Amino acid sequence: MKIEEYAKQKEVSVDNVVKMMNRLGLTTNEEGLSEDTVASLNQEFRKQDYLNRLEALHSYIPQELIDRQKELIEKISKDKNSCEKMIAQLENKLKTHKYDQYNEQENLELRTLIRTYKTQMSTLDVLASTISGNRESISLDEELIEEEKERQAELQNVIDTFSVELREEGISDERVSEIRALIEDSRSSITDSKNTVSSLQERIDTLNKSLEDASREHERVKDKAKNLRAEIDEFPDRLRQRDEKELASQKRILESINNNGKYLLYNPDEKLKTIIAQYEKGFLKESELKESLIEFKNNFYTTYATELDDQFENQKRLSEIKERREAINLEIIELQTFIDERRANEKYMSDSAFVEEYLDSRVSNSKRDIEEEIDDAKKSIENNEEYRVLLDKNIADVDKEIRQVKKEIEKAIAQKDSETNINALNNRLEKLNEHKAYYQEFAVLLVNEKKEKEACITEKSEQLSKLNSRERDVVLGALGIKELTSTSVKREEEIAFKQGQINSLKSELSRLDREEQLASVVFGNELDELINDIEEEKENKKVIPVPIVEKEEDKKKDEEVVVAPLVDENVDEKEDEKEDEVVVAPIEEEEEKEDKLIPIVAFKESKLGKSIANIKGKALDWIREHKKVIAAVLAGGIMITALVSNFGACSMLDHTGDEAKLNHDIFVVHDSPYNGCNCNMQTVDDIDDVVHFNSPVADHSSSYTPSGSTHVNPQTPDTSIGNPTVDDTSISDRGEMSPGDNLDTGEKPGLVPDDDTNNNNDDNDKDNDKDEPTPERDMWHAHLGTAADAGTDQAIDETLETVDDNGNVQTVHPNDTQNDVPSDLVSSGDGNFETPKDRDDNVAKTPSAPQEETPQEKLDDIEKDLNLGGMSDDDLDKLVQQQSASTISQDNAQQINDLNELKSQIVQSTENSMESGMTR
Amino acid sequence: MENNTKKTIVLGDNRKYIIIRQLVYKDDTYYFVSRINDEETEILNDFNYIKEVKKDGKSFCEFVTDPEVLKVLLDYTNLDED
Repeated sequence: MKIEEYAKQKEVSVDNVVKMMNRLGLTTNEEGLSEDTVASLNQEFRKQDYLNRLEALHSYIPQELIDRQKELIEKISKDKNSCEKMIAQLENKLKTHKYDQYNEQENLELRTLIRTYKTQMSTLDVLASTISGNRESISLDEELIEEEKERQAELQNVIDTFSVELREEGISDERVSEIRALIEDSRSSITDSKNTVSSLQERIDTLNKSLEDASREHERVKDKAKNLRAEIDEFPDRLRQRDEKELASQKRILESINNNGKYLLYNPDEKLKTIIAQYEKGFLKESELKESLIEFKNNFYTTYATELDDQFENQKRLSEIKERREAINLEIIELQTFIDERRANEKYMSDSAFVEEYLDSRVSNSKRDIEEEIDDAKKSIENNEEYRVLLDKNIADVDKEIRQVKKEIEKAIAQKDSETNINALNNRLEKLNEHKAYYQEFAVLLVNEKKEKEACITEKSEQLSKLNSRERDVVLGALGIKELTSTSVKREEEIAFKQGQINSLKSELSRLDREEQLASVVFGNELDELINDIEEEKENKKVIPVPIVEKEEDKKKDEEVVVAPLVDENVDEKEDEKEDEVVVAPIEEEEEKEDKLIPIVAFKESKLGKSIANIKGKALDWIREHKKVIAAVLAGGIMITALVSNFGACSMLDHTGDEAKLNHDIFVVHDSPYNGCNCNMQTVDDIDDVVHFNSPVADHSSSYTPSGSTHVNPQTPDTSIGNPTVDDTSISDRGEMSPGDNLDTGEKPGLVPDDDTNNNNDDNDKDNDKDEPTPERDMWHAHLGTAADAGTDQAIDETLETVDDNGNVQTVHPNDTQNDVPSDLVSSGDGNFETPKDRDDNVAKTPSAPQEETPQEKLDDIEKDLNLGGMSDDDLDKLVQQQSASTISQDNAQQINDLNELKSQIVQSTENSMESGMTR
Repeated sequence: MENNTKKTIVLGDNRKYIIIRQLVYKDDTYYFVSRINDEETEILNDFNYIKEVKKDGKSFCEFVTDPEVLKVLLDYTNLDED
């Protein structure tokens, strides 16, 4: 083929062809272009075409999206960096968990705990003093009471003695009176003493009550102190757990960022640029270009699905936008006109100069028009008169002719002329009469017109005179302008409202513009076209391979593509490989997959959004339970599905892998975790339990018949519901058990389904997950540990969390976790931590003000606090006892003083009485 | 991507679910949902993970059954924000 022919065929200049040949290093032969050269040129032209179209595609990506993408990328990178930094910090902190690594907040927390603990200890001191004081007072009071009673007895003796003396000896009346007076005094003293005793008894009661209160308070404070102490001891572990939890959370965030970031970081602008550059430089073949474009398209659509969802189906929307825009434009024009008029009127009403100018202009225009009209009318009248003269002359001529014709007719009749002549004359007369009538009619018209014009002149002359008037109303009347009565304010409001409407419409316009711009991003058409073209080119047998040096693997790939054209562009390489291995027809799989698809009718706003918080607990329980199931499944558990006649499918899960032993390792999962229903796990130790549990009425041959599959088949539950396809011999086939044998429950560990499990027969019972922990569950947790050991860190976390959430005893106890204590902190034996340095050099340090402390000082301070505050329960008891024994509070000392004083008064009084009695 | 959290998703078989969480995994959108009654007045505590599938420009969903995917979704469903 000649170059010229080729150039003509390709609709390019010969120069272009030559340049391209030079660039590709192609030459001509004697015939011009060889087939290979043409093929290469074709390929190059096609490449150029693709490149041009790719460039065009690139220009379709709106700047708005590019900018947004950049912002997102920046934000994600920032989030990612901060997340990674946090993870590094936490990991470092957890590696060497030391006090000096505590941050301000954590230091403060620990310090607060210690201070609260110390306060509680001081309170304990005070309470102990109170108790001891009370006890002291009570015993003193009791002693006093005893003494009082002794005194009373002594006084009674004195009285008795005096009485005997009175009776037995001859005593003078005077002496009798004295003795009686003394007896009376003694009795009075006794009464006083009794009063004192009852007062002391009251005081003792009060003190006892106070003692009880103080003891109770003491116990309470002691418990509180104990708890605080435990909290202080556990602080490092708690902090560690918190950090570990935070670390896990940060890792989750990072992974989420990575996952979502992958999607968000997809930058269509950069990606398309890269594709173009790669293709331009020959790194991408056409088939690869197609794949890249398909990938690009999918990612692009996914990335901007939300923004573009509407726009991608919006050819209709585009036309709507267009219509709306036109309507808006019209509306804006109308509104603007309205506003202009209003503004003009406003000006007219408010600006007298304008009014004058406006009026002058209107008046002069009107006058000019009126004068022109008057002139026209006058001219018409003149013409009319001229016509009239002519018409009159014509009429006179016609009359004259009529008379002439009449004479000729009369003469012809008289001469008995031929009838033809007479008729001709008659016809002529008739014509003349018609002419005369026409002229007369015309004359009437002329007269009317003249009158009309004269009237017009009169009217216009009047109007003119009005316009020339000095009275504005007359002038306005003449101009046909009605007076405007609305106030300027009202008008301004009206204008503002209309202006608002215009602004709103304009913003709608700009939104529509943006929407249209986005909608125009539907370069799917162009993209699809390009992809199709590439595909067509590839399928076109005439196409000669790209003149790019190909690698062997590339060739292989090409061949593969030709042999098995890509059906589903979303299938990844792994699946491709799988397809090679699996004999099952992929189309059926696809159909099966399609069967599972349920159309989404709508996403709509829900009033229940606020209620989500209320079901959070249940949702968390559901998630937790499902995590366990999935962890067990992934750790190699077998999912055996059994038909349960009364409540649907039931699955048994054996975490032990291939050996589905019917022992406590079998877990019954109520409903299937895969159909998303409520799920509750229960270990069972006997197949009878399973049978009974699953289906009270079912027999062994049909109620449960787990399949022998050792593979987890997530779809099994779906197919098994109401469709018992499993074989009851499968267990025995595996040499473990058959329905007929080895069903002795006594041989199995004593784990049976609990009542809660049975409650699951109630379809409405969705709250089983909230049940109290059972031994079975504990067993389950133990197995989870196995699953976790199999490599699921997450499962470890969850195990801990589950245990925590279930309210079980903390598995991490301070005493158990001392191995986790930082290497330079060792147990001091009493549950406290101290550094080796402290042990060697146990010198008390004076705490300094927190704000002035260096990190090391802080550490020392905290450790000192710990050592000072730290003591065992025994130590606490000892302290209380010591304090009870040795300390007397000031209040109680006062009470004792009072009692002592009272005591001495009584003694004095008694002694006085005795003395005086004895004297007598 | 549109945030459909707390929205009601109505399926072709008239089932209705409220979306508790929306997750994206390997470019696919998943929803952690709970069924609600037909009157949309009560959340039924019937939880599920469903995956949104776009096909021929229309939206479909399928219930997630793949344990691997479920594990990831379960691990990353964070309800702390509520």
